[in-house]
Amino acid sequence: MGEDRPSYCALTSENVVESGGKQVTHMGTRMVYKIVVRRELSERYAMAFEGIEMEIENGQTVLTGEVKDQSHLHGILERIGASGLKLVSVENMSEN
Amino acid sequence: MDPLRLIVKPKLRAPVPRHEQVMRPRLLELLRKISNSRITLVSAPAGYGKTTLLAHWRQVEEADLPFAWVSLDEQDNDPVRMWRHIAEALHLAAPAEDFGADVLAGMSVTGRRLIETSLPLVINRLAELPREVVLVLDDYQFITEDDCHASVAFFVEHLPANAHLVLSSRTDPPLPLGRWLARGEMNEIRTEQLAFLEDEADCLLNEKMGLDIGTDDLSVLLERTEGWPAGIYLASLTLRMREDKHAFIASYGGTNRYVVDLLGEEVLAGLHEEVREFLLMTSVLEKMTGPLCDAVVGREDSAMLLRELARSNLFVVPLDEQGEWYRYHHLFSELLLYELRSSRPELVPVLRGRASAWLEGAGFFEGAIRQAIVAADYKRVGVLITRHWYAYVSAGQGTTVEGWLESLPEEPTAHDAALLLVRAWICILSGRSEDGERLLTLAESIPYEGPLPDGTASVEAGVAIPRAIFGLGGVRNTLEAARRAVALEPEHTSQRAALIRFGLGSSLYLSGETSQARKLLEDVVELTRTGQPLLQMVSLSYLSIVATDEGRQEEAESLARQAGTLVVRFGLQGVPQSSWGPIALGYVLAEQGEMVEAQTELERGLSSRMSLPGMSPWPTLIGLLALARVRSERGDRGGARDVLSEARTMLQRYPDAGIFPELLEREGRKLRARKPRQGQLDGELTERELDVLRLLVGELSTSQIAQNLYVSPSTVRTHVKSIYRKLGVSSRKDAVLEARVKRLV
Repeated sequence: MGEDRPSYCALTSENVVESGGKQVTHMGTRMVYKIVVRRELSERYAMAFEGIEMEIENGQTVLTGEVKDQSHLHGILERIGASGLKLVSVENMSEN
Repeated sequence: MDPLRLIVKPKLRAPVPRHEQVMRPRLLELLRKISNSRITLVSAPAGYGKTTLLAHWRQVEEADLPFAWVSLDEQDNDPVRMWRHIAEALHLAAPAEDFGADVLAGMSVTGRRLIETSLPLVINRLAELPREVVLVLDDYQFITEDDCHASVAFFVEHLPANAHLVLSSRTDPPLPLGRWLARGEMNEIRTEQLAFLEDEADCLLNEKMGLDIGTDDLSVLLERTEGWPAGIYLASLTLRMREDKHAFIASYGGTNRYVVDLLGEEVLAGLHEEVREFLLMTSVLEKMTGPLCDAVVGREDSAMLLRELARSNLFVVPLDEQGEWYRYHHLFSELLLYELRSSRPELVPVLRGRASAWLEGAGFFEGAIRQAIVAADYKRVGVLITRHWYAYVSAGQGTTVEGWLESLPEEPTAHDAALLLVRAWICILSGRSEDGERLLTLAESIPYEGPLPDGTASVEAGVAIPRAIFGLGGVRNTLEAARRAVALEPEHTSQRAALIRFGLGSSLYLSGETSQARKLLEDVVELTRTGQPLLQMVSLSYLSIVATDEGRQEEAESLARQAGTLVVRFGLQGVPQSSWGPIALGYVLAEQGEMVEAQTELERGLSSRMSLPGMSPWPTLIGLLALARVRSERGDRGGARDVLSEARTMLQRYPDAGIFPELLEREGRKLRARKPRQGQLDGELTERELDVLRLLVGELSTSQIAQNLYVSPSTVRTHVKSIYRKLGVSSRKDAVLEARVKRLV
């Protein structure tokens, strides 16, 4: 699966930056979020959210992944909204 | 192409409803209930037909009710820019009333000033319109700046009875919606109402698309998409290709797959290969036109193809009536982009590069830069900025360039001499002179061979020019820089010829060489006649001042008024340098003895300069000295003294000040020679002190009082001390009480 993945950063609504992804991860500020949307997405579609794992559950799609910071999270949520997807829940799964 | 097109017409044109779009009478009825509310909010995610609904409404009401329309985008997320478009849109809706001109004339620098000065103007002019008018702001979700929201809230709160605002947005804007709803001032149309009902789905699928879908199947489809119009339309595109429509709907009804995901793939797969390629490759474009698509895709017939696509697909949206520009519906372009990125990721930067190159060649520099930014091709962004920045700066659009600069990463650009120069210009123009000078020095220190991307002969020339123009280094240094610029820049590169002549001319004036200055400034006015409005405006103003000095008052007045017209014509009100016009006008009016008008103009020009401490001191000094003279003539000796002390303070910062120390001395002597007003005893408050006392009555702080009176806070404090002493009090509250008792206020 790795080779097929397009190399772009997580998409943030209209201002998409396609770069090789100079991702800066600060140790200690890792956040893992679980986002549930209505309806089932294909794996290919979910690949638009890079670094996010996808699972189908009861007609819904569960997206889990590491979120850099609040900006990143809001970007993902905006992208979901802009696509016409219906948000069911957002949960912070970080161990703290 | 004219990069000075500040206001882009297509975004002010309401979309024309297309035949295939479903009219929704029940919703149109809802909209018609506007007469009793100030604002209508249409809030729903993409694909619910908000824009289509509003376009239909406008079409229905067209004869009796003028609509002003603004399709907002990310670049409008700035209050001055947003309101400039709104003013222009209102002007288009009510041309007979010439709405835009004087409204635009009132626009100020920051968002907060906008609320104080320009918005009341807009609101008053609206109230004066003989008819009702509806203002539609489409895609309001692009607006996220607090200043913008504050201005809109203010606008709604003060909206005259004949005006109505419609906000269409994908998200609820952070405005006091609850309050407005509670007061019955707001109409809402939300997702639930915008979802298609059976009759509407029937209309789309059967009437418009001619698909012949039965009632039961229709229900399944409706239920499955939950009435989402974009989803239903996607389904119809798929159904068009299917023989057994019933089977498709049945299976579709049984899945839980997200409609865009499932059908998007289908719709794209069902397309002719060539068309599919075209759609995918052009998905990188924000807006499309034939030649641009040709360049990106490698065809010669894109114009025709676009027209065809628009005819058969609602997701291809025409942007003008000539059929030249198009864009994809947001959801469709998302789908296409995503498909492109997953199938041919390596192609994306290539396509964006082609787009950027074509856009630059066609003169759409902003578009070219945006493509480079999205592609993260920062090297190209830097090249584009350093090539084309001046066109925007000379049109008063420094903030656009600033935005581009902000998109660049810190590291590589910190050592790019050409970029440092651009940044220096932007800083100095917006009153951050220290930063600007620092950047100029930095630029100088970087080894750089040959001419700059914008054609300037060298970095040395590029540094000498702003030093000559803004004069921040003192008069002698400025003159030196001007002479250096002349030496470094060969005559035939005319783009900078005007700037260089201006630098020399203005520094000669400041050195007291008025007639030499005049010749050069006249050259500048000639050279800038066909472009560079900002420079033309400033040089007309300077020439006006020279004319006044040489006793040619009529000519001076005409020149100053020409400068003022330029400000309005090119929308330069938001640029601090537009203060030149009023200062020059006030200068000649004072000479002509029109003291009241002169004072108004001078104070107007000075107020914006004084609020930005890092501005070039020379026009300010010209204005201050003239204002001192005017106030003194009008009997306000205290006011004149204050202004002269401001000027003295400025000269402390700029000791190398050419003609000014002597001029200041002369004004000071004239003032002292005037007899004081009769009957003024030591215990009585001076006129100036009375001015301050009146302002003490209100809620203003010391610095706000200072701003109001065009003096420094320490001057105000001196007056306050004297006031307390004379009134025999020791607190503001007591001073106000005493003042009331003595009927001084």
